[in-house]
Amino acid sequence: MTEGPRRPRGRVWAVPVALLAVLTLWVALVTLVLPDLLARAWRGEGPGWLSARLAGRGSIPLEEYLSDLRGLGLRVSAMLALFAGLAAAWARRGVSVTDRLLEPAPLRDLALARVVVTGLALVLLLWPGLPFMSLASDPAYQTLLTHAPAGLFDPPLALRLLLPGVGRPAAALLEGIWIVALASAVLGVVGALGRVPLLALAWANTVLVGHAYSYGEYHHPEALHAIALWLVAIAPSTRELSFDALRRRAREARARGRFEPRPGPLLSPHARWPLVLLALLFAVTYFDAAIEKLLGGGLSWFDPGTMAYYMAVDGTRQEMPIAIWLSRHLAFLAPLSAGSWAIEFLFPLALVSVALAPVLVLLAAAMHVAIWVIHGPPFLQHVVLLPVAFQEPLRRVWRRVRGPAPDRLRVLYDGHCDLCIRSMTILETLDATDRLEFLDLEDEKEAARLPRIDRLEALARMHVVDASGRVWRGFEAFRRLSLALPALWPAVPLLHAPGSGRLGPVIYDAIARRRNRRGCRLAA
Amino acid sequence: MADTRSGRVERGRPLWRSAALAVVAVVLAAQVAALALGTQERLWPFLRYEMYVRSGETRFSHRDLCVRSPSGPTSVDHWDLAIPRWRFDRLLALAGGDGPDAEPSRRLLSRQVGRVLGGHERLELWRRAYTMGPDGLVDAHPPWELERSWPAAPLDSVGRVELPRLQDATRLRAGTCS
Repeated sequence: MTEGPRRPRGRVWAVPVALLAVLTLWVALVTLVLPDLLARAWRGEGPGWLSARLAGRGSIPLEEYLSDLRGLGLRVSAMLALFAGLAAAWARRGVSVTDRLLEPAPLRDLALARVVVTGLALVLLLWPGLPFMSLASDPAYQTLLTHAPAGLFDPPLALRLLLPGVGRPAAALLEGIWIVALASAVLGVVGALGRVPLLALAWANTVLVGHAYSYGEYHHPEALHAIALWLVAIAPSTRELSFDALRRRAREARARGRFEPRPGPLLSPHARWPLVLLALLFAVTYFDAAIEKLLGGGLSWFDPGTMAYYMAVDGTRQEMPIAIWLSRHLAFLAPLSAGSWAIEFLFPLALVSVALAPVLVLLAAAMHVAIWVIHGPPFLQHVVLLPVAFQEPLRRVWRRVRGPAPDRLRVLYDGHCDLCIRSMTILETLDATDRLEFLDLEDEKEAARLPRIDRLEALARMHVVDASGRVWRGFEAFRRLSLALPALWPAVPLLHAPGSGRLGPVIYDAIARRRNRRGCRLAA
Repeated sequence: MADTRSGRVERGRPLWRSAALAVVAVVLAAQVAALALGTQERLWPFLRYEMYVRSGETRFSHRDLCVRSPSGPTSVDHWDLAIPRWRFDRLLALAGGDGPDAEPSRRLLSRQVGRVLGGHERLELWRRAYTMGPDGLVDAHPPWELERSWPAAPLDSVGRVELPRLQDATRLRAGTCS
């Protein structure tokens, strides 16, 4: 959680104070004004429109209205208090809400979010039948639902907005939307064609899940993922780690006639807010789950019998032995009840406490995995999205665990060779973790930094040098890079397969000879 | 990203910065509206997270729908009738009760059986009742009991619908129609 520049005190506290004022007014409204207004309207003494509305509800007793009003009042109060508390915690550090959302941040973080969020959609579309997966992504399930009794079809607002005038979609239309989703997900992962495929994927995903949830059955796991897809679609998430970025840089390098390493990460005011918003939605999700347990049954959640009941229901329905066993051993359930509620209730602290954030994120992910293993409800989407939304604190923990950052590898290149320029542009685009440093052998100052390297040989074959001075050449240099760059890890099995040590150099040398024919000056 | 180099900073246009703040405000407002109004089926993907909120429950049941033909009974799962799982369970619970929704639910099940399965004489609703005691679940395998039975609707005039097979369409409680 990087803090932005210090702002005038009044501006920093404006949002938390405003939220506190709204909270106070809201509490006064639902505790003092509305109950009295409802009671008078119930007796026919209030505003005519309200009396008419109450009369239209028939035999529902007044106490039920007041109970609904209390629940509504408490839920909104809890959320306003949550938002005011978060804004106040940021303000105490001199950071306004605007700064927290729009402070320039590395676009790579947002791009990484795009890769994960769209990659998750792709996995769900390709393997819907696996455990933990979403049936909404299964075209067969979508077709199946078109045969459900017509009377059950009751679409959510999102489906009606995104498929206007269609009514109940036909199987062929849903299959077409599934194909659009699949193609868009592939393009979204690699970051090609800008926002168009991302918007198409967000649309198709919302339509498919919305259709699956049009028959009176709703679940929670897909909701945040659907919102996350829209967020990466409207934010500039293809500016980095993408095919688009690669093309743009290659074009710039071609225009310049040489490869120039970037001075540092590209920062944008639009890189942070989608991730902060996703983190806020996680906070709301967990906090509401904790509040609803209190509203629904007071302190009875902490009675292990409550969790035993749910374990028994899910365990017997799906024949899950651990859940059935736990439903008969209440002593184990008391700490699980208290622990899960504490994670939910305290989770908003992950947005304001550097120390607690990684702990709460890991506990929440562990809770979802445990819930799935023990009694079934799958929250794969939450487990995948949590590290996306909380990249900064998790990265901080990772750095602490890892110790000093690994030394950067120096990649030597011929700054006047077209093929080298393209190769370096690709490598720099794939270098999401900044493991590489690029040295232009045409630049004498830079070449002088590595006096023991034979310049002519380095111009002929790619050289990679580590901090200790160890040198990898040609195909071996590619192998070393494939281990260093996560984006190249999928190629590691191929580059290190049996026989690749003999075949690889042959292919490399053939390409290097071709490079010579294409205008690069030195022979391999 | 462990980069300590100074990066290039883009300055967003004021209009886009305001638009970003508006998106954040609208999304959070929609989420709060869904929590407050409890209209999650309307505002999806903005939901109320009221999970596991019931308390003090001491009984629950699972039900199984069987269709009986001259050759014998067959257990019918929600896949067979193209109805989402939880919705199917709720329909069975309503069909087994005596409330105002019982008869419409039984009719709906009969019609759907006639439309997608056809050729059956009766529908049977089997029920397994579980009890929670002071030490938790009393019996993990109580007996199945016939709760209700009603005539099946004739095969739909349009003809039988061929339903697609799903990858994970496993029967949860097969073979309970005894």
